[in-house]
Amino acid sequence: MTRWFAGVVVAVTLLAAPGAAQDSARRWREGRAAERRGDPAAAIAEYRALIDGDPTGRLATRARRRLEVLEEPVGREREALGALLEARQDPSRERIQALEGALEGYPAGEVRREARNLVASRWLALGEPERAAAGYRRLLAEGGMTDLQAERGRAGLARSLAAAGDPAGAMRVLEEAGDGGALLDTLAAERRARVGRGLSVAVLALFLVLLAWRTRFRVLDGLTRRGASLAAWTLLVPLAIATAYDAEALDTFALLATSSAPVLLGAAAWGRHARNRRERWLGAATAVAAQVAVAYLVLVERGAILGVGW
Amino acid sequence: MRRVTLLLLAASLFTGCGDDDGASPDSGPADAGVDAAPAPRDLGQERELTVFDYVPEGCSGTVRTPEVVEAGMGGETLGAAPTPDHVHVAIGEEASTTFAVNWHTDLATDVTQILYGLDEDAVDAADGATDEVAVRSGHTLVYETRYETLTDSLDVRIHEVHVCGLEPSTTYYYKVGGPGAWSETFDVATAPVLGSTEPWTFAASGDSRNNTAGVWQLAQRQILEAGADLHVFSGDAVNLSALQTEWDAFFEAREGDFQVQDALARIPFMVSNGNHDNLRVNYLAQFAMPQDISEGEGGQGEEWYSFDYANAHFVVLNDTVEDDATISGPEADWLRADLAAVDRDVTPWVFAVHHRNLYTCMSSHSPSGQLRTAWQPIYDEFAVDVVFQGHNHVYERSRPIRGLTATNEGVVAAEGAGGEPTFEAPGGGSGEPSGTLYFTAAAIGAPLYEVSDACPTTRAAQGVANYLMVDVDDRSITFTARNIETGAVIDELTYSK
Ligand SMILES: [Fe+2]
Repeated sequence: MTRWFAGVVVAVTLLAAPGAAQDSARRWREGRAAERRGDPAAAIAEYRALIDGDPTGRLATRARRRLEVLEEPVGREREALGALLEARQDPSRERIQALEGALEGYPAGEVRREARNLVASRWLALGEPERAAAGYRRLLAEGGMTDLQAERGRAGLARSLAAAGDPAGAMRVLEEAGDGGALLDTLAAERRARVGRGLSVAVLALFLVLLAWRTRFRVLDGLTRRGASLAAWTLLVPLAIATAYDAEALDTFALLATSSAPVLLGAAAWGRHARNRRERWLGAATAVAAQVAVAYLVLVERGAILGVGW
Repeated sequence: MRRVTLLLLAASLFTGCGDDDGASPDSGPADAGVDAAPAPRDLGQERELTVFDYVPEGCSGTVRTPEVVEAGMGGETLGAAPTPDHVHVAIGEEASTTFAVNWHTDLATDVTQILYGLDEDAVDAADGATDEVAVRSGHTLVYETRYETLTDSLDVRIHEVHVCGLEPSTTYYYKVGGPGAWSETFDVATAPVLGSTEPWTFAASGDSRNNTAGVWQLAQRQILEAGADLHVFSGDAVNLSALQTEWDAFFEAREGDFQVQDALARIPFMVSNGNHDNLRVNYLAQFAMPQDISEGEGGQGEEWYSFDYANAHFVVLNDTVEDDATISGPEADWLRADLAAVDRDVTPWVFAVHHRNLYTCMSSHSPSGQLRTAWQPIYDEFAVDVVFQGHNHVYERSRPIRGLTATNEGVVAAEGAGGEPTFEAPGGGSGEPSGTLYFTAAAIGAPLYEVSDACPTTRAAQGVANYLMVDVDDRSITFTARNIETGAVIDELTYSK
């Protein structure tokens, strides 16, 4: 469309209905501002006037949608809605504290549930997980929730418990309700990682102790220096890579270690049969390349790094 | 030889490539063996594909179907389950005078009509055209897709109708289907006239795939209740685009008495292609988009497109291309030509929407150097105001960025106290921002990622389920990002040009 034509269209439209469009826009702005400062009654008045002035306009449809939200709660519940709108706009510590204090005085229902949810979620974000957990427990004790609301509430409780240092309690909340899902997977993976890190350190320490005193304990007596370094390499390299790339290091470590083993055994066999220095170097270089390839594929598979493509 | 064997051995230990992004048919879930699955067809059998095109009554642009097994104008047949579902509305042409509706029925139903008018009760009561209610016919198509697994097969029936010649900034009531089998009545408002200074609002979101804890429908409800006029979506609607069950879940999600159709049938939903959507026929056939086929463009002109809404110009791009050279080649050429044709006196605001990130900070996917090289110089040259990106399931806002260093890093431009771009003479000048803002509002259901705000180009970042509401009021703009689970504001920015 050319500029002059667009200009004409704008001018014609503005001339045709100069009052209605401007009035609707002004009332829409006023209504929005009233909602932001937590005054549903003033917002309702603006939206009603907007609809009366221009019932078939675009903004009238939007005003009707706001009225569906604002007009349903009445009395004390509308007061709760005002406080909720205000706290959503500015979820600061002070305002959340004030909203939490007022909650018990509000009637039970959708607005209070949403307010409880906001309060609990904000306490978690503000670094007070115990307070958040208590808030989520009170939310879950309210009736009338949809299944999804309850599921989200339990997830919030589980996150709060985990943040408060009770991951076992968090997992119990999800398991008892049958909410598997990503959160439970994450918590389970974190537990595996904790156990795994401890286990890896223990195995490594044991190996080093046996190596250091192998003449005394005679356990690793037959182990050559080359064999020992191969075994150490098999353990240390995957452990280093896994720790560097993946927070849930145990699975990655196990996968790396098992898939590196054939590469290293192959390299060792090559080394034994190599006839000269050149062949040994070729074997070593090949083994390193193969292990890098293995590590790359494992990390992609585990999602620790992005693979080729997207 | 031994090296090859070792590498093959290592490679054979693994399947797939990339954890969550493998939209390739080889990396899908195993056959779940659910008995609701349709009768399998011989997948090796080739079916003849067809493309149907026509100019809808009263419209000016040609509408084209993707390559499908069956396509044509709607007929008169009602099948066993003819009542429309998955009803959703989009902009197919000029936003102030047209709208397009898509819906789904059983396979046998081919009747494809819309009844619309200004009076809700009249539309509600009508079974055909009346004095107050108009009727339009549209086209219908059937595409073959996988259903529940990547080894089964299903034919899906989709309907699409375009309505043109409407009044700007006006609420219309409509229902779709055919005599005896109508959907419920919905309302949809046309855009203000091009260049209008009326206030309007759009939502920006992305990555609904997997729909954790029903966040997708919760957000749709909030977006409807907030009074959005438009919703732009940065891609990854579903996890595996080739599975129709995932699209069914996307369109049929509900919580309590709210279903996503309540919002999607009322607010034009403009999609861009994510790596999980992958330009599959499911994606192309289920959404109406403006369709000017430009050189090198696939998807019958639905790979990239632009449209105007009131005083804004939107470009919607595809960054999951078949041939990588497309991004810096024909798509960049189109982008430059499209932006060069924009009259900033009419549409002072220019927004881009696409999936992958030019700017993002320490989340799962690193920023794309390829996109920076190909598109940022064009965004810079034409002073694009905002780019809405997806892909990283977080909320992020960049500082204003203009220019690239020798090492392809973004240069932070002049900014105000809140991180907003600056303008030479606000309210009257050229309206050219000092830099472009890059948002990532892409966690409307997808599993959340970690994110950081430690990068020099990043202004705000949070790893929470979110969507963005953008209020445009003449030459002022307000961005409000909300936490979907609580409705709380997580980031807000207002400025004027
Ligand atoms: Fe993605």
